[in-house]
Amino acid sequence: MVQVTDRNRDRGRETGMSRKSFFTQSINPNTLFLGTMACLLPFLFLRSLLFIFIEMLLFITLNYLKKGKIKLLPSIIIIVSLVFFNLLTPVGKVLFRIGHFPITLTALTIGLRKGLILTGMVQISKFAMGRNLHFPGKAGILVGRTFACFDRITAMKIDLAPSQLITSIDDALTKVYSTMEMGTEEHPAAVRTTKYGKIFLLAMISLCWILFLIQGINL
Amino acid sequence: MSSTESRKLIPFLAALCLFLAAVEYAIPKPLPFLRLGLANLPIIISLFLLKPRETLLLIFLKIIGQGLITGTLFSYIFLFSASGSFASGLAMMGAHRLFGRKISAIGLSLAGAAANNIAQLAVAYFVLFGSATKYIAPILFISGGITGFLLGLFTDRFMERSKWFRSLIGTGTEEEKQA
Repeated sequence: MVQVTDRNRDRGRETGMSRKSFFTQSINPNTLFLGTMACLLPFLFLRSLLFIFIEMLLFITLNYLKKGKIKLLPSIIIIVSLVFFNLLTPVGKVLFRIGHFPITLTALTIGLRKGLILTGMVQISKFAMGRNLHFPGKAGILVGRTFACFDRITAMKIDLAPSQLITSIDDALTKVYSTMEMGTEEHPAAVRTTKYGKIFLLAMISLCWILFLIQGINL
Repeated sequence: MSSTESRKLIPFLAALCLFLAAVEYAIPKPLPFLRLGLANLPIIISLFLLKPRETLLLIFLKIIGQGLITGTLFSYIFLFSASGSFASGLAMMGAHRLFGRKISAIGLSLAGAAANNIAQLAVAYFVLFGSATKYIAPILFISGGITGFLLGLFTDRFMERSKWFRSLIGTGTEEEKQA
């Protein structure tokens, strides 16, 4: 059985255990971060365009499942612009021409590879990150303090009308800054990684390393 | 400014950077790498309030925080953000130190925008675009110049009218005490 804390169980009752909540209730954010980082390493050394594409799709899907929505347009624009700018320097066999402009195989492959790697890295990175992720040490405390302030600022209502913008921002800053205390920040109760969470992480890491190893033996 | 006040102000300004970065993220852009640089506003303000090493810490927090919020901490995009932010921060700190009160927020912002673009183009050259970087450079410099000017103008107005900023200046930075 999946073990959940009372707090998580209550939350689960309120919202229903969705795919989205699996990632927040079944996997500790720090464990998810470390597990996903274990996938980043083999991804960076993938040579096969197909495998890079598969892994990128895997993390796009995981991000969709984790967050419930995903913006694909920026990724598409990044891939298209990288391919376009790489094609501007023709390298390799000419595949076809658009007017006088040659579309070359090596330039196309390099552009696609860079675009897919960049998009894949962004997706892997996004999947690894969570708001409840805590870094250790003094830097971790400062980052935690920053996020505590960020939560307070975002909770403020700011009038974005141009005529009132400065006054509105100023009022909000004065209010938040004056109520800030330099105590220790409260961290939400740590979520423990459940059995299913561990199985998921193991499967994800294994898949990434298997793709990397298959490529290594040139199958 | 006392060290207690600085310890309070640094995460606060870093949070403001994140908030403005989130606002900027919500504004539609024709190309993903074109940016308004709203998150630089607290960095410019910090030049008048914090010591240089505290401003560097603020820049570090801004970079890490942005990487965490946008989820790009372990991607090339983070490399662009980090190089641009550090270069821009160092350029603004240098200009502020060199010209003191003779340089306005507009000048500081323009110096930051230029350094940011140079650093990002260098990363683009070595990591992503290679020689094709020359095609992006004019767009980046023109857009960076325009947005740098507008941001500087806004920061200037903000520092003039903000009661919050005036109250902090009133607590007495080393520079303010000397002035």
